[in-house]
Amino acid sequence: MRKLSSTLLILLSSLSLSAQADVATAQKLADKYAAIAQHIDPQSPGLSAEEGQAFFTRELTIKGKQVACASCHTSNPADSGKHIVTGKPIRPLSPVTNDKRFGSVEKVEKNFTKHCNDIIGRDCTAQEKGNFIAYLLTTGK
Amino acid sequence: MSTKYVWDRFVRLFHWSLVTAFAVAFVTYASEWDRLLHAYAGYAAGLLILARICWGNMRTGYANFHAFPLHPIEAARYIWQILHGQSKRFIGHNPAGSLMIYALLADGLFTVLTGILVYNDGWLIDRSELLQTLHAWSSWTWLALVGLHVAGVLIESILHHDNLIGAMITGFKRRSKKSELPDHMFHVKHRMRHRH
Repeated sequence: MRKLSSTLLILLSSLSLSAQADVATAQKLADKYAAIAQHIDPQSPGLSAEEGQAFFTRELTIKGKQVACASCHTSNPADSGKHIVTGKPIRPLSPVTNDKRFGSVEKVEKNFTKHCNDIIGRDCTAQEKGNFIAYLLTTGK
Repeated sequence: MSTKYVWDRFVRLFHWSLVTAFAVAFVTYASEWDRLLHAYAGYAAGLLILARICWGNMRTGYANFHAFPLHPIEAARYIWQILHGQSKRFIGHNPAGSLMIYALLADGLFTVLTGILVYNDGWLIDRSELLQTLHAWSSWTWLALVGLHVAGVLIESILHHDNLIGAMITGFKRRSKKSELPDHMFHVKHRMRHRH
């Protein structure tokens, strides 16, 4: 009986983990990207939140506009953002204030590819993605 | 060759406008830069479908919903007949085509509805992820239906020596020859069944 209930407990907790992303899963993703970056470049210095922030606020000229990630997600990714094309509100990007963010690798990869192509015209590197999440994890309310 | 006016101006304009709206929505779905255009194309598609549904409930001849009843069994029978080289020609939508039109209208509306809810995130139904999934699935289903619809149009055109694409541009189709069964038989029978 105890065995059954403990099995159920493990099952339940693993289910809730996969359904609810949180800071811990975001950290795991960051670690994964760090490992990939290390694979690609053994000289990789590891993740840097400062580099991530610089990447987040770096402005590029696209379609005659000066844009950065921060253009839509504001200079504080823990806050709600606003889409610069549609004007629609965007839920906070930071996993610290939005537990729906950075839950699954597939979703995160899809969104990185989409947004990186939209802004810098290519997919981001593992190092850039890792730095990005490392920075988001330092943000707060 | 004697011709018959089948598709009225509204139906033709509706058809090609919906093709355009869907094509625009399709090419703009991926980029954030095209978000606004994508939403407008979606709203346009939704309004077009609603207008078509209104039109289908008015006295509009072959465009009226009664002229092409939703009848999945007849549709299956018609496909069976095609496979056995026994399908007869219909001036309006054949039973399989009719089923396709209802599927396109229904899935189209569902796609626009979920699209509106995704675009206005958090409005009415606060289930972003579920809505995004539903919107994606119904969109791809719509694309698959369009593919089947085009395939059906081509098959029908070849089998019955018709030019259905041309008919949707000009509105005219060739009249049925005497050797071809009268195309209204099915509809008359179907309507009578409902009346009694």
